[in-house]
Amino acid sequence: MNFGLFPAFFDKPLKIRFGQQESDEIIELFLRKHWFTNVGWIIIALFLSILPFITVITDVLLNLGFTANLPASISTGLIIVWYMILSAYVIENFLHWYFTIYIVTNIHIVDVNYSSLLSRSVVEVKLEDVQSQKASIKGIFRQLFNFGDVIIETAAENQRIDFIDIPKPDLVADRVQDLKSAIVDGGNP
Amino acid sequence: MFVDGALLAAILNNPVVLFAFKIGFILVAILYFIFALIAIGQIRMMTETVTTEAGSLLRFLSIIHAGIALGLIVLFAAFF
Repeated sequence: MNFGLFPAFFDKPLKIRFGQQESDEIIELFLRKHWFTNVGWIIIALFLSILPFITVITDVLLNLGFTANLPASISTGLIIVWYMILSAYVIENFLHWYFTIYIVTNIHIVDVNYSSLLSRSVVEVKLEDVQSQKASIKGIFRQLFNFGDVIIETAAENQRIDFIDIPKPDLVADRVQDLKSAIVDGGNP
Repeated sequence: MFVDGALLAAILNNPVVLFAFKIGFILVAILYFIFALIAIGQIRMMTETVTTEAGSLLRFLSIIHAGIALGLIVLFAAFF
């Protein structure tokens, strides 16, 4: 199932590059978390977006008299502030999803983590250092929408890369295995 | 009725209360503008780290967003 608004799986994308990419390095897979991982915060945002209307309706139905006595400037200001906070919540969640990126190239595996507005980390390991990769799909929704984790163990010091909630984890694990085999065998993937 | 409407209206229409709300709104708008500026910086940094399919669009939207945030400060300062 594809969801065009939140693209999460790119096979050999041509227009995507990353900072430390070498001249002969080709991006094989460019991944983000599956679109379904966004459903939670989207539902919360939708609920919060209608909450002012629910509040007004409740106030009128229960005859509380709160909104009727609120000066227009205060009620308008409160609504604007409410939607400012809500938009900050939406922007932060969207950016977190958009910039948490997993890249598999013909040379490296790159894990770009966007932790918050003020922090990010980039972990890069060579494919030849990959010792094992394991795909796992746990849970009903993950089975239904075919997304899950790929755990990549490497020979590098304390390096383990976890691709969390990515689409088609089995395919990704297979591709990593194929690329690693190609490097070890000295051939092309 | 749980709230005394006349009392509530008297409190909320007090000039001191209205001014306090105005200051509060401006402070929140300033914080939001700072958030918008941080978002611009973060998007620029991330799009330099990874050139993505919609990176330039995101940069553009982040600048528009900061402009709107600045407009909200002016709105609260001038019209509330």
